[in-house]
Amino acid sequence: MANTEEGRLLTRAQRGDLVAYEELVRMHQLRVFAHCYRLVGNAAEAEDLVSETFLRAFQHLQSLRADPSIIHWLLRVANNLGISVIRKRGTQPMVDLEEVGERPSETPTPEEELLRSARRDVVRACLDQLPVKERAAVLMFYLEERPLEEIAKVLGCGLAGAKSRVHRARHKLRALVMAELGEDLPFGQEKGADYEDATN
Amino acid sequence: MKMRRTDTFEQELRDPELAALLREVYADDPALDESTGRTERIMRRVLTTGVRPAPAPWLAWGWATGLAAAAAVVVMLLLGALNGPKTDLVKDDQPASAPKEQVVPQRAAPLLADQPLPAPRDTVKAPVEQPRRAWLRPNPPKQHEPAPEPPVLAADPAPPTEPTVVAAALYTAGSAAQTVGDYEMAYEAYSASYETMPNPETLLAASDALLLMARDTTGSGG
Repeated sequence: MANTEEGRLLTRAQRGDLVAYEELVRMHQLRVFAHCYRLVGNAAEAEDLVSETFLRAFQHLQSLRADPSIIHWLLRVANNLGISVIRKRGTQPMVDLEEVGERPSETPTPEEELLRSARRDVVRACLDQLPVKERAAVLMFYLEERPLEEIAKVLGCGLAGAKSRVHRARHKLRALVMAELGEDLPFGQEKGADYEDATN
Repeated sequence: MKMRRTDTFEQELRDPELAALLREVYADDPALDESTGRTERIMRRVLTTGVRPAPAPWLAWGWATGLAAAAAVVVMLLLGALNGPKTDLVKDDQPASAPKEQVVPQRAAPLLADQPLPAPRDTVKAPVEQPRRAWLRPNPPKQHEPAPEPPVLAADPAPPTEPTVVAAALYTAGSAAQTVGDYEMAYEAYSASYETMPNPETLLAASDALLLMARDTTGSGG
């Protein structure tokens, strides 16, 4: 494990070297933040989650292993923390679908930009409606392009569980986005039909 | 039913359009830009929470024995106070007031006898200043023949250069502070050590050399 730069840093951090730990934080903080931010949909909450995640990593420093990377452990902790934040918050989505179209623009922007912005909000609101583990799965698979093994590690489930979550989330997300945006979808219904054929 | 491989799973789930849509949603989100100071904020939280990571069992012994010795040697090194006889001086200083009065008549007597008219102030002055030196003469040769300790440094197989010593001292001080639980001070010391000696390999080697020297010193000293 000490053969990689991350492994060397982890070994030094485990010896008590705080500067090495800072380097590890610097190495992974953006990815952990991005995961938290997409999960909870709020930058301030995501910042808190990132801090808490690295605090826990520091507390469990001696048991961390960089094989192949500590990022899976970090993402798993961040994911679990994010889930509890969302559960505390309740099922209410961060963005209310009914308010999306009425949101005033802060600065005057071209019409296209307004439409894009509105569509982004709709998709985020749809994501917020997914169960949190499915949301994490779909974001990691489609947005971050992570392999299923890694998703399974982060979600703390088996490969089949990860696959079924991605599968379900994809269907639900498609349905929700189509319901909100109608024919203006960037992806057509044919794709869904293809998918059904492929799985049957 | 045949078990399908992960690659096949992933192929089945691929959906470029959905991926493109999600990328578009998060494409120019300012929140996802590299934030300046996030690492520092995280480290501040970690340090101020003050929760010590449990040390690895195999490290506990090394740190416990090494750090106490190293911290003492580091302080002495930095102050340049590695002179053995000083402790004896302090130890023997206590009865100094008594001999003062005794020495005066002992030394003054023969002088007065040999020279009928010595300058009285000289005879008074000399014994007052001399006894301390005379006092020290019999003792040091007995116990401290190799009195100057700094040669121990020079005798080290790899004598560290000046910045290396400073960096290693800071690093060791950081370790000591961390052991005590003062994380902010530890962090400051570590950072300062890396500023002085940015190469971690050299720094760790120097720190190890310092620890070794500390053990040698404390070992030979009793």
